[in-house]
Amino acid sequence: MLIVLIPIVLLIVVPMIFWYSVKAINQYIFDHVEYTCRFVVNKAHEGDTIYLIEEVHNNCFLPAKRLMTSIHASRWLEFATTQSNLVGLTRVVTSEFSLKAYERIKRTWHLRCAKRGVYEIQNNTLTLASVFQLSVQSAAIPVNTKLTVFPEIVDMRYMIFSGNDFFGDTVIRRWILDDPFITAGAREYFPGDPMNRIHWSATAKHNNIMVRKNDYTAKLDLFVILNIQSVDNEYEDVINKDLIEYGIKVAATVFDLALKNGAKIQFACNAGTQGESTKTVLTPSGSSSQHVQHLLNVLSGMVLKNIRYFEEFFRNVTVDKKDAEIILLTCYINREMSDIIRDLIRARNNVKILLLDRYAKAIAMPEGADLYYV
Amino acid sequence: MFKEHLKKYRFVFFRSLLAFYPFILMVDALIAERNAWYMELWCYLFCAFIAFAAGIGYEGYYFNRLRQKEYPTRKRFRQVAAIAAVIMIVLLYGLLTPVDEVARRVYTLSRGLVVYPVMEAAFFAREVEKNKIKDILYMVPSFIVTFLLYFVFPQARRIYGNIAMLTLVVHGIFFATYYTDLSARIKQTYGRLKTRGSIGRFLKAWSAFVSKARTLAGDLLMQMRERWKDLTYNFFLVKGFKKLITGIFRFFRRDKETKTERHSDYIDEIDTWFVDEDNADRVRYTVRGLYKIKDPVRKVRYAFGLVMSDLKEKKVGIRYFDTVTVIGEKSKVIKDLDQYMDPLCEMYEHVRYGDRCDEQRSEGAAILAVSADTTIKESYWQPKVYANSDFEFEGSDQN
Repeated sequence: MLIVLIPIVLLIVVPMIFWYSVKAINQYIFDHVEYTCRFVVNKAHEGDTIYLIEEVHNNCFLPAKRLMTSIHASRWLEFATTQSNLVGLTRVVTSEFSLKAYERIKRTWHLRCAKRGVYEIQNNTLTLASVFQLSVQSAAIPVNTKLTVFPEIVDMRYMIFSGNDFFGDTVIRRWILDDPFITAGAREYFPGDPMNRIHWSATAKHNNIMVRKNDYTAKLDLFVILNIQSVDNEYEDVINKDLIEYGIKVAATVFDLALKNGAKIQFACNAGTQGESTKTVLTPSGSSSQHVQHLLNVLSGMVLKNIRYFEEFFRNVTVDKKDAEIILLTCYINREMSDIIRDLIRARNNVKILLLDRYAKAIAMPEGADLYYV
Repeated sequence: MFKEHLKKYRFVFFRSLLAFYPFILMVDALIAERNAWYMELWCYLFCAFIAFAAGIGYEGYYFNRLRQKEYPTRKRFRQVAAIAAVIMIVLLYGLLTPVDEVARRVYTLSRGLVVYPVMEAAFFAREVEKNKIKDILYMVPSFIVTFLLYFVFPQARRIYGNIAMLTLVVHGIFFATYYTDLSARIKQTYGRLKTRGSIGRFLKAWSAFVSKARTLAGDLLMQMRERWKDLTYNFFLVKGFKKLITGIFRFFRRDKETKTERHSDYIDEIDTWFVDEDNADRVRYTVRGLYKIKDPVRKVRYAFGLVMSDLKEKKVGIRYFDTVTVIGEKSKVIKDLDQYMDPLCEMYEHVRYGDRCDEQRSEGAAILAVSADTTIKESYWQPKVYANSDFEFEGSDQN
């Protein structure tokens, strides 16, 4: 009887002891594993290649041979293309480590930012499998790393305008001092006029001493308004997302040009951002690099969802606007918008319309507004 | 050709060899006209089970890694599995060996310098004194086979575990052949397992062995308990052991510089790093430790420290220069904590600035701290401090 019982007991008890020992050892190793994950930078532009760093340290005298981490990132952050799974808008990357005692591995992933946005990695899953998979320990490790991807800057120099189109001085009717760089024409010489102002060719022509007449100018503030609606009757989600994404890129390009030219810039949009998805965007005016960076942050976090009907929004944000350079980024123009633009021109504003849809028709375009197809 | 064939079918080949062993045992027992062969069979089955589990486990692991094409192939799991199986075999064999043969077995084991001779010796432990030369002769072929497989065939290190299985089979064949030829010796060796007489006599013989084993196991357990106590309570000893192990690793580690491995998607920088134990003398705050303290003032301080250590683990963001009021405000991010924190902070302030506290109040502080400890551990709170960033989306500078 005992001869039969002893091996049976051995077959049950010894494997059980073995199993529990393996579990305990695995838990011990798991408790001593330290893990961090972070983006190398916190700001990047669309199309940039940056790095994501994972650091694992086995602070224990036993080896952690099968350690796996699951990184849950956005699908628009392209990395580990050969070993990642796409689940909806999430990219799940399983990264495996094999650590000896007290060993530390720093894994640097090449990551390409495919689309603008604010991306966060909050938790990564850490899993440690024991020898022969007898025990598996797993935990969600808070990572909390954040990356803001700014929209791409598109090249528009050869398409529509030079820098002066937006940021040059504009002629005004009354001012105290004239602008010596802008010549309006020539007038007769009055005593007291300096000699270097004499227009010699005009003098020869008129047979009278003529001097250059300068004009009065002023620098205008720039006000960029983005219409998030891709078509006229769009009530919530954007239908043609590509057009609006392109509009966001154009807006970023305008901000970039404004920063380079030192112009004051203001931005408004009838959509919300990731932090405040129920409020429309209306920023103050500014020209510093911090201000432009803030505007780019706003663009990065913009949610493609219409919060307010654009015509109403357009009227409200421009109600008291005078002597400004207004740039309207939109996919369409309707009669209501044309009326508002006409009012704006009457209030001594320069209005430039950048039409994002190449095939859209501009209905009832008011006189004095410039139209560009971008 | 043979090499390729062996490489492709090695797992199947070696395992099929293993399957013959129980039949050999049966034939051996039939020839010897005894019915005690199943002891060996059980022993064999158990060892084979361990060896199979090890082999299969490693095989799956190995092929999985091959499929993913991401991992260095020079790992030694199979070796570990093989050694584990061999150790199990040796231990089991030792368990089934009578007590009076222990001296001889120890002598034989001491001859072996590597695992295979140890196993070899274990198999031939009974006859080792009488047939030393013969034993060594029997060892030679297994050595040759091992040597050939290990050094001659390509990637032979990866089939190390199978070598262990093969040696097991080879030894089994040698063993069976040896004893089948000498039936008298078989009778002598297996005499104690004969069941020709009454079952009672047999059980009696075994019960003596079991009772002795139980006494020994009891002694062993008592000794282990004592040692465990020593280890647990003698903190310096634990620290000493840790330092010793770390020191050994520091001394023997091969790669003292950072090693870089380039893959298609990522780059690995591998180095060995020992965490400095400068802060090893830090006070560890536990609930058990709190109840052990008798001094009321120390108890309140410890209770507050316990809550602070919990908040630190949760990454609430309490800094060393924060006052008690600031700590109270910061701790409000944890839900329902203020009901314990407010009175505890008040008590702590009395102790902190007045250094006085009665026993009743200290007990109250301890209860509050334990409740706060539970609340913090059960709460879900994610810190909003980003690992890579000083960036605040909402609070950006606006001109």
